[in-house]
Parts: sequence; structure tokens; C-alpha cells
Amino acid sequence: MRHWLQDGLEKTALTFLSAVLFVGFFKFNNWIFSHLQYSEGVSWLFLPAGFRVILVLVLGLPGALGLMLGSWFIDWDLFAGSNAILGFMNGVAGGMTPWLVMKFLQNRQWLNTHLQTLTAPQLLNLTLIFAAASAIAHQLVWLLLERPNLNIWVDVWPMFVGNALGALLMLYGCKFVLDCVQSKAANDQP
Amino acid sequence: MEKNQSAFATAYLRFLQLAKVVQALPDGQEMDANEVALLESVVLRWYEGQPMTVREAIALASLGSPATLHKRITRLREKDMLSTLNQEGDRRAKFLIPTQRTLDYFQHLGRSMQQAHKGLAA
Repeated sequence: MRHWLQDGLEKTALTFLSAVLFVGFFKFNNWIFSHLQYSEGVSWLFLPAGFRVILVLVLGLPGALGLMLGSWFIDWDLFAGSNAILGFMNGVAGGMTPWLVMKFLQNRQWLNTHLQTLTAPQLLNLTLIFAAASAIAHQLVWLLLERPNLNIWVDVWPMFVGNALGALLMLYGCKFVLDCVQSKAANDQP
Repeated sequence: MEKNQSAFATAYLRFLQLAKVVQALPDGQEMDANEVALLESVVLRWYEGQPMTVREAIALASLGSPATLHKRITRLREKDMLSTLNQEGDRRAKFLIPTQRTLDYFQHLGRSMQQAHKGLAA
């Protein structure tokens, strides 16, 4: 019982951590790359897509749920207005799509649960797959829910490019930081 | 095994695994086996206190033709693995000198060898 409670608390904490990181970077992205916005909610450079990859791979389901919660928080205006279903489905598409893709790849044994067999080229492929899946899922939701001024065949590309570039930028940013930390640690060693 | 691990521990272990993969992401600065072989020859001569000139390096027939070796030296310079030094009084003789990045690279290899040796001894 105690183990179950502790597990639940830890997963809840990880879910909120995931939501906070996603929302934080969404706001940061809007602030710093506002001029790269293609249309409402679509940017040519979308940094939070990097968190979709990192959080879902590292945290699993809590990471995906956090992304969904974060997306609902961002779309709060839609819930308060007339299009609550669009806001709800945006979150489901944003959070659950990468998780479902990951589960599919794990079932096909292309990806290991603990990432032991993950290689750098696989991570790059995974980033592109997540970017494409997320863009398609969002565009399909918007098509089904009849979001105004939508042209799925055109709009899906900026979204895919934004997701892929944002995720790659985030991953290479992490690589730069890790390389610097390692290099500093090696230099400090006697 | 997973049932015994807390969600935090699992997340942390996956994070370590992912960090390792992120560090291995290609950055266009990797060297191929031929470049490594040339670099090792150049650095060995530098270590012996007799740095190799560009002329000597492109004459290393066992590693390739002069044109190929010249291209390889250019690539190693672009990757910040080699720099050149002119001799005082003779600007024609260009010596090949390892950069700090090269020294870090060999230091890393040395450490890895030490760790592997320790692992085998344990």
C-alpha cells in the first residue's frame, strides 16, 4: 500500500514537472521566436517539441500526461470559450501522440524500454518521427473539429519543420551543455 | 526488476542513458580511420620533440598519396585537430602541431584505456 502511494506521488510529481517544463518553454519560444510564427499555434521553430522527445523517452506516461496537461493550460482560453473540445483534443494529440509512437516502436522492439539499445542515429530518426506524428495528429484534430482557415496539406509542413528544427536545436543544445560539463570535469581532474 | 525501482529512479536511469546518446549525436567533427592514422603519426612525432612538417606528412606513402594526404591535413585543420607553425627565419617550413582539442582527445583515449584496464583487472 505504501509502495503504491509512493509510486503514485512520484508519478504525479513527474507529470507536473513535465507540464511545467513544456509550458515554460512554450512561453519562452513564443517570446523569443514570435517573428517565426506561421499561423496561430504553428511556428517555423518550436523548441517545446524537444521536450516532447526528451520527456516522453525519459518519463514515459507521466511525461506524456504532463505534456497533455501543459497543452490544456496553454489552451485555457479555448476551454473558457466555445471550443472546449478543440482545446481538449489539442492536449491529447500533443501529449499522447509521442507516447503512442514510442509504445508502437517498443512493441515492434525497435526501441528498448530503458533506452539501453538507443543509438544517436536512432534518436535522430525518432525525433523526425515524433515531429511528423505530432504535426499530422494536430492537423487531423483541427481538420475534424473544423478549425477555421485550415489547409492541412499546406499547414502540416511548417508544423513538421518547426517541430523537427525545435527538437534538434534542443537536443544539440543539450549536447553542447553536456560536452562543456564533461570537458570542464576532465580539466579539473588531477 | 522494474517493479522494484521507483518512478524517480527509473526516470533518472533513462535520463543518464539518453544523455549518453545525446552526447554521441553526430556534429560533423568526427574523424574517419584514415584521419586518425595520420593524426597519430603527426602527434607521435610532436611528442618525440620533432614535429612533422607538412612536406613530411604528405610524403607518408603508407597512408596515401600526397594529394590525398594534403586533403586529409586540410580536413584535420578544419576540424581544429591540427594547427601549423612556421619556423623562425624560414617561412617555407610549416610544422604540424596538435591543438588543445587533439590533446583532449588523446587524454580521453588514455583515460578510457585506464578504465578498461581497471575493469579487466577487477
